[in-house]
Amino acid sequence: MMWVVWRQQRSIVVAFFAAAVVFVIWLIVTGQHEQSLWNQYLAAPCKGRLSSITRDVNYCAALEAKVSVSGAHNDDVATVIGAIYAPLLGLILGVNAVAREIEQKTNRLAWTQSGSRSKWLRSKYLTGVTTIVVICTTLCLVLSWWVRASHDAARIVPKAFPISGFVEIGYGVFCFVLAVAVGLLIRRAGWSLAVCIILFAGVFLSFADQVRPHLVTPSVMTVQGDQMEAGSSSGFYSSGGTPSNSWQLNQGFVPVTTKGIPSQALIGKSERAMGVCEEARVQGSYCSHHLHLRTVAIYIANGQYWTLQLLEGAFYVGLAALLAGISFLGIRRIRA
Amino acid sequence: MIDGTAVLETVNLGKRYRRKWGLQDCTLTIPKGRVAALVGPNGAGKSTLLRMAAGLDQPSVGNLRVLGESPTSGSGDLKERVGYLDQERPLYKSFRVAEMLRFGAKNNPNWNMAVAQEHLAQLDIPLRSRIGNLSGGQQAQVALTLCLAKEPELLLLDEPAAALDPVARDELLRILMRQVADCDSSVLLSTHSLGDVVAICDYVVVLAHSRVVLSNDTEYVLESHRILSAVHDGDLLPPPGVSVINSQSSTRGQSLLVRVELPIDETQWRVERPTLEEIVLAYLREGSPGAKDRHSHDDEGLGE
Amino acid sequence: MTEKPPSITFRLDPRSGVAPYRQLVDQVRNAMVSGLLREGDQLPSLRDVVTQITINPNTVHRAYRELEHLGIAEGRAGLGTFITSYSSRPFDATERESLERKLRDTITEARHFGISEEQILELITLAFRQDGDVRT
Repeated sequence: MMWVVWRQQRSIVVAFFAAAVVFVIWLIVTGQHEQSLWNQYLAAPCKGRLSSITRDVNYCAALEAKVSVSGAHNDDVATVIGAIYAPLLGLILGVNAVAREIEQKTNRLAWTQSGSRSKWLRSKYLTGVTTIVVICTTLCLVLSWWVRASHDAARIVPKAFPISGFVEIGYGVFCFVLAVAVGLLIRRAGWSLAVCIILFAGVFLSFADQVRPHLVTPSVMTVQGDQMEAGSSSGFYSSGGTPSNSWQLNQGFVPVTTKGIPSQALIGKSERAMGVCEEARVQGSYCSHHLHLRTVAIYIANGQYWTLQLLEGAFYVGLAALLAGISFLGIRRIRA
Repeated sequence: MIDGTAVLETVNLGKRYRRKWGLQDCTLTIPKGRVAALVGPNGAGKSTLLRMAAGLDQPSVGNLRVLGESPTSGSGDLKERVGYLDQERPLYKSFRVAEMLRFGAKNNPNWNMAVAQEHLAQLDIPLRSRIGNLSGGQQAQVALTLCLAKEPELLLLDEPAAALDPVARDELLRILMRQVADCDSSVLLSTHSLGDVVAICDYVVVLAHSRVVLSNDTEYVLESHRILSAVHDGDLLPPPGVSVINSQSSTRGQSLLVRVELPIDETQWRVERPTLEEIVLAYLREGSPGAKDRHSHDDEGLGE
Repeated sequence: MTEKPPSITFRLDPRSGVAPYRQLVDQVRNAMVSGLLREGDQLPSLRDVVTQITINPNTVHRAYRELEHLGIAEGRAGLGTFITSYSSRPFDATERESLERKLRDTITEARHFGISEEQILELITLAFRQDGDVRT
């Protein structure tokens, strides 16, 4: 059956492969361009723009603008295409594998030959997952290089995290299995695709927003007063005073006595107190001193990157395995 | 040709879809070696019965045996022994004909590639053509070829000749009949064309309102039914020994389609032979459960 | 098989109330009366008939068995089915004369009762059918 499944998916795989080749070429070209700009910037040396080493402020500002404008534009393109590619490949392969076949009734042809329905489903999974893993692994390697090459960027921040490392393979596999399961239930290719897009977008966004920040214990950095920016270093992703290439979750004021990771409520409360004080007094540093507050930044350090990748990848692969198990149980009872 | 074994046997078989019954209370036996026709209006349960026999649908109630086995309880080799042609004649539209045959060969241990290629060569269907570019008739032929090349013991065909032009239809049925002659396959096919039934079927099952109303050898069915007519004003009692399937009255007479169990007194009634079409239509019109053929299986040998 | 045309070409009338195998039997009988088939002629093989017209092979088989039963044909193992001498016996002149006389008498009698030609033919057909029913 593997041959049949491959024959059915051949045109889709070829189309996606061609798209991947174009995308990879674009990544290599822009990646090298970004890298050379970044190297120029580093060589200036402008790194640490507020430190005293800065040789020529105007020169550095112009160079930085060039790097960040070009970087921001390319970032958007890479993020959108990179983030959509694997899920879309998974969804289309999955919908084509099951919903489309049920829609065209060819499953009735396949299920009345020798060989069980489970075998039929297994060959769908084997072919689909192998295709996704092979194409996406290649793409992931290039994307990871691009993220690093373009401006030594923080790969851990939400914008870069999904398109670097190996989580993308997880998205692709999950989407494929999701589309197969939904296809068995909905039996219509168009509707299955629409439902799967909504489902995946829901899972992806809520995971990125609600789960990923809590997967590891964040670090806290405090500074007396509001001189946060003093310790700032490289990278355009990292803002404020958090260490280079880290993912800042929150920043604000907390009472000096606070220990451990401050809650969102505490930060909000202090923020409001500062607001009231500043309205009356104008001088920010006076207020923080007067209210016994200090600046705090909560972040996840770059060192946690692979832990996050592993946990998120495991989550999607685990979910896919669960869905595949349910599909195997369900396919016996499905109406042909 | 009857050797006692049944290719299909159902007892009180029923299939319930969400709201209504697709097939109900179906009890029938189709002997080996027959070309059996399943006739009835749309929605009578013909496709439901065939799909269950092919193992595509689970019965809701009752028993179903195909070649002595249950089609849904797993055994993979039953699928090798049964060829099923769906009403939609599904084929992979993007495949070439040769690839479709390769699909059949990969999936069936008993595949006879020579038979498949011979059929298609006779019909001038090139192996290089894409399925999607073939005409409806040619697609039907390819779909049938996929069933025939398995050389199955039983062919389950859901309206194999529907929507084909007369020439394509005749060609397809002739190829089917040659297969029956060559391989001794048994056939159960559903059809709307009663003309086909007479030409190619020697067993007929009539389904109406999800129930079996007639099931027997066509020869026996033809021999055991008569049209009786008499000139009479007022109601005339039917003669003894007949069951009335359908009756029509005119101003001065009465015409009955009856099943005959005893010789008829021909002084009072004019006796004529109905065509199979008339018999089937009479059963379909009176397709209530009461008109069900209760003796359908007791008298297998009477036609001999 | 292809070099020689079949001894008889069957046809099937699906609109007739006569069982298909009987139609074939009748066609063989008619062909013998008209001289199309003679003693020793081989009937087309089952497969040839099925290739020639769209018909159930079981029906052909059934018809040939019926012909054997009636003594019109005989199956020779491995060779096929052949017309036998018995039934192709031509009419004897005296037999024919006696039959014709009886029929004429019947027709005269019928005309006397005011029965039309169609009605007489119908009666004869009916009589044939009953004869057929009795024989099988």
